[in-house]
Amino acid sequence: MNLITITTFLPLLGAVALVLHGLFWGARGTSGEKLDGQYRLITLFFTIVNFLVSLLILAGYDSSQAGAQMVTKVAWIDWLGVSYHVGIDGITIWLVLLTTFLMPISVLASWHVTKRVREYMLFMLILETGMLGVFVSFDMFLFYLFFEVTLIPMYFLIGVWGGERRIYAAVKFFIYTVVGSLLMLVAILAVYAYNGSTTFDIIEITSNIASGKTVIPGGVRFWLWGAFALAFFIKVPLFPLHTWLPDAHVEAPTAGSIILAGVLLKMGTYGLMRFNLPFFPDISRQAAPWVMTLAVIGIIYGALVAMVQPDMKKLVAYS
Amino acid sequence: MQLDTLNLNYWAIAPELIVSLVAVVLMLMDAFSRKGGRQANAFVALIGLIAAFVAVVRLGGLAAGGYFGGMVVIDPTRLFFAAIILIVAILAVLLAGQFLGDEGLPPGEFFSLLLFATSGMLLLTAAGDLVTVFLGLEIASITTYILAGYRRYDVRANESSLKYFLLGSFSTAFMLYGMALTYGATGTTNIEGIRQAIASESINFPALLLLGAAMMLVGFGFKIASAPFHLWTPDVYEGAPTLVTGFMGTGPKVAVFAAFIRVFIGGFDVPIAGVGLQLHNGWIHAVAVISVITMTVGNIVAISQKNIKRLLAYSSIAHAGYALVGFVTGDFAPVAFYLLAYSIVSVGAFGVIQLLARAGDQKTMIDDYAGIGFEAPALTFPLAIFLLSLAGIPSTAGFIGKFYVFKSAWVTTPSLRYLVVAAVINSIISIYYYLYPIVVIFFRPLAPGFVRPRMQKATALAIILTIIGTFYLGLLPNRLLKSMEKGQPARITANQPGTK
Repeated sequence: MNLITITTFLPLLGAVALVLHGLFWGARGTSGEKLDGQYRLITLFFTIVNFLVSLLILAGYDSSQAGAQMVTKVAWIDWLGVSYHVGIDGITIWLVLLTTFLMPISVLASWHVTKRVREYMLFMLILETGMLGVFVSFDMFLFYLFFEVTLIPMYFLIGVWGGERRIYAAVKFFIYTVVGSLLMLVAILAVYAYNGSTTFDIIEITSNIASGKTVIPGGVRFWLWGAFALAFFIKVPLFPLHTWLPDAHVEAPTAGSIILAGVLLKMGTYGLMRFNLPFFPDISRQAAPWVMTLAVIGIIYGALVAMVQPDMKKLVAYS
Repeated sequence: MQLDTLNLNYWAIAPELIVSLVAVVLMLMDAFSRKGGRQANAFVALIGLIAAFVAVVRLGGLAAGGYFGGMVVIDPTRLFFAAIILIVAILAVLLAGQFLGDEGLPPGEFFSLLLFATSGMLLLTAAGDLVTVFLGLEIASITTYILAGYRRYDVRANESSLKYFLLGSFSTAFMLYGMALTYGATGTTNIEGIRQAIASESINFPALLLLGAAMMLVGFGFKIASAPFHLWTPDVYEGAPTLVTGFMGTGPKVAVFAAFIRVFIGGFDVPIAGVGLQLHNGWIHAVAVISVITMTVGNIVAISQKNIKRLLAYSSIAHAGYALVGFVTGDFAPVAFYLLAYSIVSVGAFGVIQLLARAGDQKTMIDDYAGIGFEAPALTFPLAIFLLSLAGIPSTAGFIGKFYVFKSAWVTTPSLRYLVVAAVINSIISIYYYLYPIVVIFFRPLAPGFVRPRMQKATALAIILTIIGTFYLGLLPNRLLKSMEKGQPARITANQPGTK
């Protein structure tokens, strides 16, 4: 077993443990409050162990070398050219560490949650697996799978444990993200088709495009860049696609806000670096002034709106 | 024609024989048993369906091609579609105990009707001749009309049954007229014969053939509930008992798709020259347009539905549209995989709704389920998974189904890529209404007076099986996809004359 695989799926194992624990001890008549305490401890245990595992990854990471390390590549749906291909490189090692570091903090921050503790912790752990999966995937299919999987637990966290307008915020969050990611799915299919319909491997496609083996026609390149960019701009979120964020931030439980600001938004920037820059370098260069303009508008606009916010969470959201 | 050239091999129709024999046995059991043992009937039906499943698997050992003078055929299309139908039937039998028990309905006829319907559907998947298509279609349809009205004291079920019957007969007339015109043009009802007649350019009246194909397209379009022939679907689905809705929304649709593929891709798809090319271009574009209209209408109308059964009815219309995207690639595999994923999830969803709706389908409004999410997690979590699978969220069967269909259409038919874009936009729309029941069930406060429904063991088994199926197809579809690829009939192009 590779360390990367362990980090990614350890939280999921913790989720299974929670369910089994509940089924076993719940049936034996342990009181609800006592069980809730145990659920919190189990979750905290798994997140802390996971942080330690990710520290081992950092220890084993050789920063003198470029490119992906600690790679596992196993055929998965090889009929389509999908492989289970995970690893880390210089960017993702820090994103993985960030995630595993923030998770125990979020669990501690949600110690006061008393409503449906088991389900709450369950969704937290599934969310951690999803986020880590996004960062370690080197296969477009796998990436897309994890990218979408993170949505569902976050959707439930906001919708069930959120504030007053939680339903509105949860649905808005979900639909905004899905609109972007489904267009990204078409773009993924298109890149796959132009590359000869044999593989979803990001590293292979990147090198094919860099060496000129795979050529995507100019007009198409623009649209594909746009499809990827839209998905990630929504996640970042870049002005004017940001309106879901203040709602989600305010309505989410505090731990949800921590993860949202700390990790989920980083997935957007990461995606831009992983897909848009290497796949479409020329379009990215041409688009840079526009993106920068929007980013600057976002900064100023966000800062101005943040100045007048009475709500602490909203202030953080706009900042 | 010599007797030995007819290729009479009873093994070639073994699944159909087994299912209809067991159906007859069930009728006799019902007539001679005193107290109408529900469990014994269900058990016999289950054994019969499993035996038929084994027979379908064993069909793979026989030589591919026509049997009984070309009336039935053995090919991969038949094997996969027959397997899907039997899976649906097995799940329906498992869920039926709960339905009949809760409603206090007589079990005997139910199981034999269900099996007769299944035998008709199996015959449809095997049809190598327009006459067999018609036979299978009628056996499957007439029994389904009765099943729709099985709760005979319920006005809604009667309405549903009658509507289904009248409109179904209407569409059958279209189908039959189309078959007659095609026979007039080609001089044969054998699908392979039609292909050869078109390929050898010996068509008597080309206009007749085009008209016949158009009428059959209407007939098939009706049966798979594609727009603009879909108007019967919501009323029929809403009124029929929930279990029957689950069954008829999947089984007959899958079977008709098999016959649709056989006739249009197997018979009419000869784009060589003259009328063959005209016909090919005509139906491909007609199906493409129907596909876009179907998914758009299904999805947009589904948004405003407040009744869970009507919502799923419109969603099933939309899913027929997605399956048609796979259809235009000229390959059965994406369609078969899509329908398998859809059927498993759909039967599972209706199985859960049957329990939530209580006897007599009293509670089918989505708002009736407010806040029950954590009160009955054994029902609501599976329902949420099924809805997310229908929406096409990754790691579920629905996602791989959509992915496979979109990928095939994108890679094989570049001229129809707009279909993929339309389908993706539709998927985005569909997310909204698939989320709505989840919002109500999990996020709203609990409505007073909720009592957790009691679940039978067989129902629990069926729901567990559908959940396993949803994740198996969603995460490990490799084996199935590979086995489907073997022995696919490639589309004949101008360079390859039409021989098989």
